[in-house]
Amino acid sequence: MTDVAQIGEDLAFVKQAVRRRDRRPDLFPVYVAWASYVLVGYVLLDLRPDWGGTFLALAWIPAALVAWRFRHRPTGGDEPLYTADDRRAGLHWGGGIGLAILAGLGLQFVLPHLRGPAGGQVIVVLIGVVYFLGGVHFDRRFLWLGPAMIVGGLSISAIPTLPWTCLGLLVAGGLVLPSLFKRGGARAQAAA
Amino acid sequence: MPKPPPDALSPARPPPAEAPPGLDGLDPLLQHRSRLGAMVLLSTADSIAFSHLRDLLQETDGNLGAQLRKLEEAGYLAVTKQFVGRKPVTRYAIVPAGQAALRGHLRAMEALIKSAKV
Repeated sequence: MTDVAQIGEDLAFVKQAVRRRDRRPDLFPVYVAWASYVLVGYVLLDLRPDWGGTFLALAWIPAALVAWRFRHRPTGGDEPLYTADDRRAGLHWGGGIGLAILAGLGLQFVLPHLRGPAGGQVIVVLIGVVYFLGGVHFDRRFLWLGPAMIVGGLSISAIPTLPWTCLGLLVAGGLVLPSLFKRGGARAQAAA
Repeated sequence: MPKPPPDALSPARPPPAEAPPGLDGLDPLLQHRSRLGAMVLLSTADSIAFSHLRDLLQETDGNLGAQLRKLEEAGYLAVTKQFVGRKPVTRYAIVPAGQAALRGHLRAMEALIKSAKV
């Protein structure tokens, strides 16, 4: 066997090992957790605005715990494996959304006319940008969900009834529906 | 019949007399797929437990242990042993010398493959 052919075989072996490492657990529960958080929080913003703010400020903690639990399940060995990709994803989602919220709150502090619902709109638009970049780097569903959030955030004040509920339905559907279709496709493939 | 030592089953290949471009840059220690696989996996992780590496590479305990020992002796890997509960766990991490060796080896492989395609 030539050296190049042997190298090709070795690389195929390494590729298989890397694929086994990158085999991710089903992230559907993670998307359901975040979709529930967004939907309940946004519905409350319409129906009980005082509760909505408190809910959004506190309920991200259990949602984040669910995300952590499912994303970092052991994928083969007896321990979770943290790779450079995991760190990048953590920095993107945790850091990106955290910074978007801080930037939104900061803007409300220096620009008083952004306080109240307008401040919420700014935060939604900034999170939409983080979602879009998540689509560029991690998961394609965010490529359209990010811009949809930006448009939704900008047009909140133009929607006559239950605007936050409409946006919550859009975001929750955008998070959960692609996973449902993916699951259905995977099951059909497994059954075939 | 006694079993041959693990390395005798798949020895590192010596370069031929007239080496094509890239071949002399290959690291003999990484010309073994288990060692190369372990180094690639470790290059993007802080550290990985032996059992996890074994599962990912689908190697036997004996063979993988022997290959990892060679990398450790060459100064490419750092090894830590700890107890999780009452169970001993051996963890491996790549060190800067190992990262540099892996980068050089992958560059040489790339050059070799390119030269074979011309």
